[in-house]
Amino acid sequence: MRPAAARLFLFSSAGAYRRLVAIVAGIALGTGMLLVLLGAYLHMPDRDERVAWKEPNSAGALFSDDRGVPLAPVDDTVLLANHVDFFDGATIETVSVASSAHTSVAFPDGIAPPAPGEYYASPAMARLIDQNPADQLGGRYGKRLGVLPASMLKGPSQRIVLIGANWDALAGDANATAERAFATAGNHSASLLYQAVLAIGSVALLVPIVLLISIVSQLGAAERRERFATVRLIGAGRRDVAALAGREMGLASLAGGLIGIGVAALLRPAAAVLSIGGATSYRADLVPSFGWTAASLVIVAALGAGTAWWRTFRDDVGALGATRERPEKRTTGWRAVPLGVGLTAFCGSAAATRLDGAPQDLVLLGLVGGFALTAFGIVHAGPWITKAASQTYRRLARSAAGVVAAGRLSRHPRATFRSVAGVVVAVFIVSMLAGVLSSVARLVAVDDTPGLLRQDTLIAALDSPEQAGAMLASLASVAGVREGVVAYRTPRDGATTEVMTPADARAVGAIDVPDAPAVTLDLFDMLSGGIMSGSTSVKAPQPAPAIAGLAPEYVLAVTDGSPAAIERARTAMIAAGKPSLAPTTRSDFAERGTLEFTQELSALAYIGMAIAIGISALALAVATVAAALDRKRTFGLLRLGGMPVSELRKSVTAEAALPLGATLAASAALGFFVAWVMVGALGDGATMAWPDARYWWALGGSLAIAALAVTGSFGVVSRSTEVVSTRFE
Amino acid sequence: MSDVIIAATGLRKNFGTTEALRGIDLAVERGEVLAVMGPSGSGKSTLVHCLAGVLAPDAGSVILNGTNLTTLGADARARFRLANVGFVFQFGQLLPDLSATDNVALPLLMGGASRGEASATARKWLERLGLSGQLDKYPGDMSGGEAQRVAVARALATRPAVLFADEPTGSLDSVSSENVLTTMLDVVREAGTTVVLITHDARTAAYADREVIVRDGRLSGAFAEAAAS
Repeated sequence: MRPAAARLFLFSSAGAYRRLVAIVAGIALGTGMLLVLLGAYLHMPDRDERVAWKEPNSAGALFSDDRGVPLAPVDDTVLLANHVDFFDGATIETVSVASSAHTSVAFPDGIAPPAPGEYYASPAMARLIDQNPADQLGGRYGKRLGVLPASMLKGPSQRIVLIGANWDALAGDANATAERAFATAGNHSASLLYQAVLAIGSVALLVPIVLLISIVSQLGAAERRERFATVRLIGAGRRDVAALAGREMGLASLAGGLIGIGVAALLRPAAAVLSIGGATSYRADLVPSFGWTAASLVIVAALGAGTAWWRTFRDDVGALGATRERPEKRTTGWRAVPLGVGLTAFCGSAAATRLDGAPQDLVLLGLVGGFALTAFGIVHAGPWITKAASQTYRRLARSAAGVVAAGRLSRHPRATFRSVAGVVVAVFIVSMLAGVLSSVARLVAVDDTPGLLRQDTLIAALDSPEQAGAMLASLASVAGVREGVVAYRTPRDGATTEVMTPADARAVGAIDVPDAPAVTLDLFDMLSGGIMSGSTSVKAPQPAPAIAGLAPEYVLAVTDGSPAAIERARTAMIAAGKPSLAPTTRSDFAERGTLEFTQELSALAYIGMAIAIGISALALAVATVAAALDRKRTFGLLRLGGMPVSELRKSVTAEAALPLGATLAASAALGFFVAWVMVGALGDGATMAWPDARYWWALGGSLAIAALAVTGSFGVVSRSTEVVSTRFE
Repeated sequence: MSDVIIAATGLRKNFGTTEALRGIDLAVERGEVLAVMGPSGSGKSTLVHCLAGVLAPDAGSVILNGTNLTTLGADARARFRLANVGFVFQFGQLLPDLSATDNVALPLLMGGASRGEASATARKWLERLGLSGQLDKYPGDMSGGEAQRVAVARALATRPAVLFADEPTGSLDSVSSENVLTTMLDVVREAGTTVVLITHDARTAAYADREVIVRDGRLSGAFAEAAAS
């Protein structure tokens, strides 16, 4: 068809413009998000490379317990050790470095290693230090020389300090490595999971975009049935009409994609504040290269054109205006097979984790594969669930609206489920993460359990016995510190218990302490009970001979429990003793690692859910309008026969609500079931609790948006079925 | 004494500058089968829209079964149609996703019948129209004549006072057409239902008790006098 004719055909009505504007807007939003996700995915290795300097350099590192570690400072080597510190529930990365006075080793950007008593901080850490009294935080590290440049940081929110240390102290640190040059290639293993999540997110985002294009094409065909028929009547073939729709959508997709570049620029500031892999992102880390951007636009335009072509070709508007209704393939229970196989593989693999000698690789494959198959299985089984629910609804329907809706649903379960599939998958994944998160949250919700270390107590492991005196002396003058006590090393080699006086043992939380000159107790169990395992029971203290002659192993500070007192005590202990491991409370111990990671992942999942809901809501609204326009004539005749428009609205609402309700409930239940299996198998006694408020907000929000999408289409339903618009034939 | 069920007086209806009806007076007796004929664009559809209470005329009045439709609002007219009027059209009137029984039950459900009552009544009407073997079939699985008889069953299931049939056999072959017409008219005559039948076809009009012709928005010639009497 000549371009001029195509232009006349495509852009000849206000409705055509409105539809195109809606398509362009939807695709622009989807492409914008896609480009941000793609940028984050592509730059994830760069983030790792920027912080490679703090990791052992595989080419030049000499572990401190290897032979050849210089015991005295040398100019061509520095000693480097990574640890963590805590402040008010937040984790701080600390990198200690020891160097000679004339070292030739420099950090990236030419930063010279700080001398003992000096430090560099990341901008976020410098702000945190400046915002708090020195005796609670700043006093731990000494004199600040400056801030670390962006080229040494993963992202702007990274809390990290580079601290100068004594060579002697670091040479004895088991974590320290000797480096002649800093690593430049990052260790990508930590970010592989995030890359996988972002890659899946990028691909997954294309699915609702394609669904949207498909549904909008259907709407376009429904709206322009007469026009398509006219074009067929004057000689255009089925392929010509499909090509017209394909060209229209291809151009709209390209326009949407180009606008999407601008949308991505607008979205980046919001996306940059999300924490990924322990830090927020620099905006530059969310920008894909020109080549990737161009490739994304080509893919989006090709998907748009291809989907519209196929959809219109399949609809096959005839020369007389009638489309041949293609009955859906029969939906049977076989559609639930992938779901059953996925769940079996997942549950079986989870059970296998408890078997001794089970091949770990196979178990992991079963868990990951089972989970993926379960997620796919929900979408695959969705039409069958919709059909089963609609058949029950059909039997129970008592009103005209119910009968009309149930008839449509049971005859078109695939089409009706398609418009809610995105929300269903999102709810499954978020339910699973919310379930897992609830178990982690329960583990880290530390309270004062009799027999475990008191919540208000800090414990510091000593690198040398001499540190104990300095720490105790310093603690004596700290406001809010009630007591400073020492735990001594058990004389037997290999023992995992410590020795304390009975009074000190009681002061830090031990119970059933026998009257004896001294007692042995397991401080690690008291610290980790209920956190690393679900069990909170610890071995009762046992009588021991006198303490005299034993070497101090830990110093513990019992505070009044206020955050300020705890941080003052921690700062005093670090400043006085310079321990390689920061003093820790049970809460700090619980927060390390898992919670932060799970929260980051759940935040990404919630955002993914919001995106899926947004696009799916648009698809749902368009699908509702398309379904009404498809039946414009029959609905109009029903209104002619006396059916009130309110009944039609009820029917349209039920057609959207039933598949959404049935499959949403099933996917939420499955998500929690998978989480329960995972927590039971891998959580070592952990149990699940009710998910937090965010989950209920997300679920309620998705239902509200779906309701809004359906009610938003009511106007079109009313207008398109007005009795005067339905001609007597 | 005659029992007039539809009385239209001085009906006028304009669409923009086009005068579709230019002052029509028409009376239809209870139980009568009236054929409305006329060329395309003559205004017969607009006339039926006004008689059935689908459109409100710009001038004149329509009294149907004792109710002046011109005084009712759109919602009230819809409720009135549900209780008093049935429609049969040329094609496309059945819901493709509903079985024959559910299609016929639909107006009964809309009128407040229970599901069980509506289904039983629908089955009874379908059997009466010779469709006892098609109760659970969908429109796509039926022949044109069968689908049209289902539409007639749906129109009559609520026992309307008046049935408006707009080219009810226009899409059927002659055998099916005769079959549908005779079945429909047998049933309506037995029930005493008034029928207003719009048709181009003189053979179809021959089944009616009386014919009127609409031309340029008016009832034409001698028919006009007879129609108004």
